[in-house]
Amino acid sequence: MSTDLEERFWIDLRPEAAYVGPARIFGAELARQSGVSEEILDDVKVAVGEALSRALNTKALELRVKAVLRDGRLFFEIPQGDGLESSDSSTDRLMAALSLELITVLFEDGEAATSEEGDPVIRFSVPIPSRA
Amino acid sequence: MAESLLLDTRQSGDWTVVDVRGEVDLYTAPRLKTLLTDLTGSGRNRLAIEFGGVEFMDSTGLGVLISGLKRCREAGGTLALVAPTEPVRKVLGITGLDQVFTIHDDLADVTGS
Repeated sequence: MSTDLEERFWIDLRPEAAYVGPARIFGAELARQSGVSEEILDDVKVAVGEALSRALNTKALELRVKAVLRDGRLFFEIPQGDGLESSDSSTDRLMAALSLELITVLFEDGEAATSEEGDPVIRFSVPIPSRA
Repeated sequence: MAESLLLDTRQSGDWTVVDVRGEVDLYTAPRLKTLLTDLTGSGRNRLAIEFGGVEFMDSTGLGVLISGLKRCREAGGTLALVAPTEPVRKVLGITGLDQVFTIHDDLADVTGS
């Protein structure tokens, strides 16, 4: 059943590594409460966590997880900074590439995109099984 | 904030066993990196990393393991992963790093004891 109704959720935390874990748990718990199947919850944790780590590495001013529940899917959007990713070593650069790779492999619509306000974001969505 | 990563080391023959428990992410991975750097810096370059208690690992953790493997190999040793959990195996598989690391189900397969 299609509906025009949508619910919006978000959390804002200080842009510090210590808050990546709590923000990741928020994303996973939101998915759980929304009815996302258990086998996908670990993937949500990974994707949210990677997007948050990229946010810090690109000097985001805040650690934010936004989600919208609409038309049977939960749409995540994690704002990124516009600073350069840390590239102290070849390993750091490799990990930055793997970070986005993980998100796009886990969720086929995962992407580095631009928000309606023109800011860099990571987006992906998760299906919500119908509760018929 | 509660401690989300627990680290312990012990010796088993030629191998130094590192027991890792909890979550390895941007916040906690530097502690694991420091430990692995200290171990290799003190000449212990045969490392068995027990991952059976790791519930979550992100790309930062992967980077720490790759750095550790490089340092071990440069010193003529190696780094093996033991009993990674399913979420960790999935991350290793997606990134192709399951082909880079030696992965064992049992510590005895690594240390021979």
